[in-house]
Amino acid sequence: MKILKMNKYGSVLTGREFGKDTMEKIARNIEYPVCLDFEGVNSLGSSFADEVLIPIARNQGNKITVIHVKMPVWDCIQDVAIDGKIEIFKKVDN
Amino acid sequence: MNKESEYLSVTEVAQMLGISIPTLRMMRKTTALGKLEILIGKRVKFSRKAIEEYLKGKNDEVTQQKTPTGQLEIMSTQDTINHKAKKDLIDLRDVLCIDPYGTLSLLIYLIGRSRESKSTELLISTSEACKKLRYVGFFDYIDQFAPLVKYNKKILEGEKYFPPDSLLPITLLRRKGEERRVLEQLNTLFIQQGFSEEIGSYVGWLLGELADNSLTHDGNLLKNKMCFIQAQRYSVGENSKCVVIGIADTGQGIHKSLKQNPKHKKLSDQVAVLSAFRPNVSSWDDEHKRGKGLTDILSIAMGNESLVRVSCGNIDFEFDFQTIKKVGIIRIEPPLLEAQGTRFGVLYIDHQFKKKTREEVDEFLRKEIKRYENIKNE
Repeated sequence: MKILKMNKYGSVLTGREFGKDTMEKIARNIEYPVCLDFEGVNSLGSSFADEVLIPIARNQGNKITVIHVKMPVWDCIQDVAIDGKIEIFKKVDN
Repeated sequence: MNKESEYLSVTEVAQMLGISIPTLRMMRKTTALGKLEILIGKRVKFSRKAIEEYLKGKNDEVTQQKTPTGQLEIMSTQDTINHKAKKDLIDLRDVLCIDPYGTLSLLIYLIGRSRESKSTELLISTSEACKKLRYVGFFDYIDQFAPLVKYNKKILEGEKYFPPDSLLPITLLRRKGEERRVLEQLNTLFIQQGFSEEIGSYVGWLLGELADNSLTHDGNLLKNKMCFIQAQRYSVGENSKCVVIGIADTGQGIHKSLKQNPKHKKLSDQVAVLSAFRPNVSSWDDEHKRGKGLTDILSIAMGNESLVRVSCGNIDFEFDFQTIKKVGIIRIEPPLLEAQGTRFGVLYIDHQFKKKTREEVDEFLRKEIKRYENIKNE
């Protein structure tokens, strides 16, 4: 499974338009399935997460794997997952 | 047990803690251990009971940060910005304290009046509140965006003042995405000022959503869009750490924005403001699946057991989630200031908490909205 480093897009990932732009960039060279690495991401907003996590999950059987997730980021991911009816798996940090 | 054995020497404490004496010396200066020492004769001793409790984590530096539940309020509630008597004159000379919510409400009010070609006179003094307004850049924004506001600039000239609770001065956002740079800066400030790492994450989430909402639903032309952010520390006792965040825009207000959706157009203004916090309630059509940002703000505040204040037009609500009081929504009448744009005040307590779910927020809101549906809208 490929690792997609989310901190490439910043440490604060908020805003729906920014989420859409980010997803467009990601979509150019993504190879599914991917694991989203949140190391160095301090904040995640649900609007941003809606635009990125859900489309990725839809392309890999409505499932998404995440790693290096801080508690507030995890809270946000959980909300988005429940709403978008996707399954999330949290990889244990090494 | 004789009196002597109730107390431990420095060597005994170092042995109990499994550390060297120099390390203990350093810890006495920098941690809660220092507060446990007692001078008996000329010797430093420690109560055996206190050290045993320290080992169990009962009186270490972590527990020093007490949750100041039950003592908090958005301070501007108490302010005496008496604009009711004379709308073209605001007397700030008697204002004792002003927080980001109050500051930004006043700024939005004055910009709004200036845009409507109404002049306003501000009476200021060298009071702490006025000096603080100057420090956070309030008068600079007045000069820039509210040209019909008159005040005596000379009064505060040369005043040197650094507010001890300073965190982020008023910052203007005009384009979507600008908030991320400010949030990164705020996150660094939190760490520098000894806050936990989590506060920056949650504050980033909630301010990111609010700024995005402001600049999306503003209703103004791009050149007139304005969203202001400000943050300050809030001290309640020496061991608590809180932050008050203000965010305000010059837009049309939540209720007007929501009523653009035909599904919600019949709601009263106050119910429209409250309904906007429910999940999946938005000015967008259902197919867009929007309307979660404001729910998330409440889910964080509910879990954090703190406060959120929201105002637009003549609607002014305070969501009080402090468990020591009866959790609920209070409509503040008259509002602090009647201005078209939306103003938020969020009080965040820096402590460990579990965020509430969107379903829990919705359940709370449904009950509260039912209560307000029976109150006649003004």
